[in-house]
Amino acid sequence: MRQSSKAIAMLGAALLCGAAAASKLETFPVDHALAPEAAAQKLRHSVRLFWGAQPYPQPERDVGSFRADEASNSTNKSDQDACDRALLSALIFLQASAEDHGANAVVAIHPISARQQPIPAGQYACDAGGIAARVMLRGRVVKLPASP
Amino acid sequence: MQLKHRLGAALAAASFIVAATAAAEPIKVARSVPYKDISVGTADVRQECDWNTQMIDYLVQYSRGTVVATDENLDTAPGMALKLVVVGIHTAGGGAFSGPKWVKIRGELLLNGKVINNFQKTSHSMDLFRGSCSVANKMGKQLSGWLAKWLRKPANLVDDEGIADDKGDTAADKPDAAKQ
Repeated sequence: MRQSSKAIAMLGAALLCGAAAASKLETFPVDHALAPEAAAQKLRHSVRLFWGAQPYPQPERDVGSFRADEASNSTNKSDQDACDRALLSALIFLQASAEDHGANAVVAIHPISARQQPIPAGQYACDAGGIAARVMLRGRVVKLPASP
Repeated sequence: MQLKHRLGAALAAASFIVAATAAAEPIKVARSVPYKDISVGTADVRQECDWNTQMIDYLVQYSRGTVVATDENLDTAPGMALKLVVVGIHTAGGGAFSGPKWVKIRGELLLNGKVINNFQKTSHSMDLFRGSCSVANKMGKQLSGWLAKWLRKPANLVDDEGIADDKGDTAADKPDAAKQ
């Protein structure tokens, strides 16, 4: 009896670990993540964001290429909610990096897929697991001329 | 399909050549890791502990000649440079009673003054019988070991825009999860 309960406990633990460790790469639309008002409030208005091939003015200074790798807690949340939060954290990190260097924009922002999977335009990739969701972005931090 | 493979191979080879050329010269680093601002850590830790200087000594030692400490301005230094900054530290005395200790650093790898890669890394310690400086020193040593390994990967020495990613090892190995 004792042995069987031990075995059941071990099986349960193994299943739990498996569920927590297994993560899947998902893609979600960027617009959905940035749509809520809360997201707009968290992003800094002093640092502009330009996605992918979106055109931007000729920069005055190019600080360099920055990478953001952010995770968010995904317990009790849908994959999309957790991934949207991680995306927001990654964008905030890029904006903070720009501010640290006296820059005012992040251009050519694109998602990085850890599994080298192609990501459709307007979407971002997210490693969604049972405990955390993870998003990676890369963008160039630049100083754009002040808009007239 | 074959063309895609060839293009991928050519891109990988090109990135490796760029990395190898860049890595031939030593990477410059400041002699001590500065604190981001006075909100990081306590005044006592900032003034009395020299873990951030020892960390650079360990990094130079572990990197086996890849990294050299310098007094040069890293923003304008030619070649590769590594800019590090301490963004968080908790090393309160009191051993087990004051909870786990941690140090968080950010780094930027520059090539001729432009950032080509960056990372954020946290080191943790659960040591029971150590003073604040001693535990900070231990965590600094751990970070040096991780950093020396990070710098050994050619993929980390180039801007990986469009180049295959190495499964996120370049940024925080253990992302600071549970960020709401």
